[in-house]
Amino acid sequence: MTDKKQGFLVKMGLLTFFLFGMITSAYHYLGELDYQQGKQGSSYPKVVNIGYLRVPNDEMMAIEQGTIEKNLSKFGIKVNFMVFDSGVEANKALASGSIDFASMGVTNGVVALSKGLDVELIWLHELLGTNEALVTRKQEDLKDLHQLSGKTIATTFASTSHYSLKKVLEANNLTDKVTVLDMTTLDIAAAWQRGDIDGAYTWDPVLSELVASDGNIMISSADLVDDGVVTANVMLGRKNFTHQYPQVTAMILSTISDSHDFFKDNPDKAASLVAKTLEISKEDALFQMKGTIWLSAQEQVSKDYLGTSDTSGDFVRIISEISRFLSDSHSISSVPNEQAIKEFINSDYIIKSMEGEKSNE
Amino acid sequence: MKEKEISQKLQKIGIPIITWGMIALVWFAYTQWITSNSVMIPSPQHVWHSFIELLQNGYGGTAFIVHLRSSFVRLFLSITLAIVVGIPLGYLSGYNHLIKGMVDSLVQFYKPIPPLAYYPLLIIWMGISDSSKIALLFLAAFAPIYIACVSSVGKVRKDYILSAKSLGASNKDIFLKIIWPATLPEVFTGIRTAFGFAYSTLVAAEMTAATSGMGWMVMDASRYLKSDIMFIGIIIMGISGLVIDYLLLYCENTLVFWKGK
Repeated sequence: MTDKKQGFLVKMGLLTFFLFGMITSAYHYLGELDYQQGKQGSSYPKVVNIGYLRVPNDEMMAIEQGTIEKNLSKFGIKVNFMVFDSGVEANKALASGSIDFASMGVTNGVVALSKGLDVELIWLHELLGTNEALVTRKQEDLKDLHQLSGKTIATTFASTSHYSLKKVLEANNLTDKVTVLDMTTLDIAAAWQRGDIDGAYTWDPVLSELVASDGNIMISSADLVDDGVVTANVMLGRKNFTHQYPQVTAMILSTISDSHDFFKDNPDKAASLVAKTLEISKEDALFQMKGTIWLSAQEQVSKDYLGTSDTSGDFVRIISEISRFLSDSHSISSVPNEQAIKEFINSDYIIKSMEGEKSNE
Repeated sequence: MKEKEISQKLQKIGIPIITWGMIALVWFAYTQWITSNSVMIPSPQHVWHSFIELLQNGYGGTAFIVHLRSSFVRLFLSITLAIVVGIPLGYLSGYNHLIKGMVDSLVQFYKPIPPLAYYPLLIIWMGISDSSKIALLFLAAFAPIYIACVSSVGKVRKDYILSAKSLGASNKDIFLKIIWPATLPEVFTGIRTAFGFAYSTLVAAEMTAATSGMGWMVMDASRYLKSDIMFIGIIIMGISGLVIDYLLLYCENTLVFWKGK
């Protein structure tokens, strides 16, 4: 073959490849065209994007049961679910408007609030209980929290665990006597195996792992609830979306609330449902689910928790305490004032969802 | 002479094949007789089996072909964009000091920054959809193409241009007959480098909030210690990278046959 002919063939090949690439790209994105939001002012969006956490809670159950998709499809709404490792990533997605709802630990919710993201807290998935705890080594045989003096304890900074640990240390006058290290949960597991740390305040599944390898739970977030130190996984909604589509928001909450009831009635079935997705055993799933406190919609709007727009709940205090903690640890630069916090917590959709339930009956 | 050539060719092809055969053999033997921990090193049969399963059932609720397609489309669009923008801008910068002054410093500034460092910003600005990923890969691919264009234009021998001018060549003639052929080899190398950059950035781009793509598949598998899927993803990425690079090299050798002459 002459060089010229070969060159011609290669050029044709490149052209064909280019066309192929263009057609494939067009085809690839055709399916995503309906991702775009519905027209302004219409009462239903075309699509809802929901970011969730891989934890066994009411939201994951609703996703596994397919109820959110089913209920919204009645109104021609498509639902996309995206899993996020933590609220850190979810906050970025919320900021850019890529997702309409996101679940995260309440500390990350406070970060979103203090950074002025246009979001509001609309639902409490679960209060953290025995699934977040302080573990020390069995052989050290620490019985009293005061014995922690001089020890090294790891936790993930700016997380709910970090907040709880700090509260424990404060309550026992240990703040300057204990070395607190910042690690991701995976690093905590590794450091524990190597013996680099004396203890850790962390959450499942790493928590169970530490307990299984000679760990001893000294105090858990469940014990702190009585002292008013409440941590939770919360759901945030993007105001642009929730204000425009309040019915859809209420519908999603009512669906999640149904899954909540399903768990209360059939804990075994609920556990096997999420166990499959999380790839853990049913027993582990049930144990983790029972370790958290699930609040019904009715309980959430009581003044012990979110409250209503008229009577603010205890979460105003809780969030303001968490803000102060995050500000002290330089995770946020400004502490939101009480008014901002009251506006951030919006239980109107929960109330709306409960009204919807009643009218359905 | 001929015999020598043949033996050289055999060496060139044979030695890598033997090396890879040895690795495969050690891999097989190790998993067969020494340890069969499927998390540390899954056996070749296990990986093959998972691969067949992957083809049939997909991964993470998405068909395997869609993962491949997502990655391909991201890579294709970003490199096409980088070529379309980078080459004209590169030549212009080579010609015009004003444009060079503006663009060059910007490119030199972001070039050494690891893409992962500014990717979070792109996500905040452009969202978690494909646009932020394509923008990231575009930035990764743009720099080498642009730099290759600028430097190759600067390297064209001045006496060629001056002689052509003295013989009455127009600017268009000078560009088409002297600068274009003289610079094309280096530009091609730039494109190949750009492909390499974009390809290695792909995994980073698919690490955050993606739900498809080869990079995402490997990252997600690592989260659940599915080593077999990681092996498959890495092998496929390696092979496809090799194939694409080989094809680019082939195009380069055929289209720019005057290279190095």
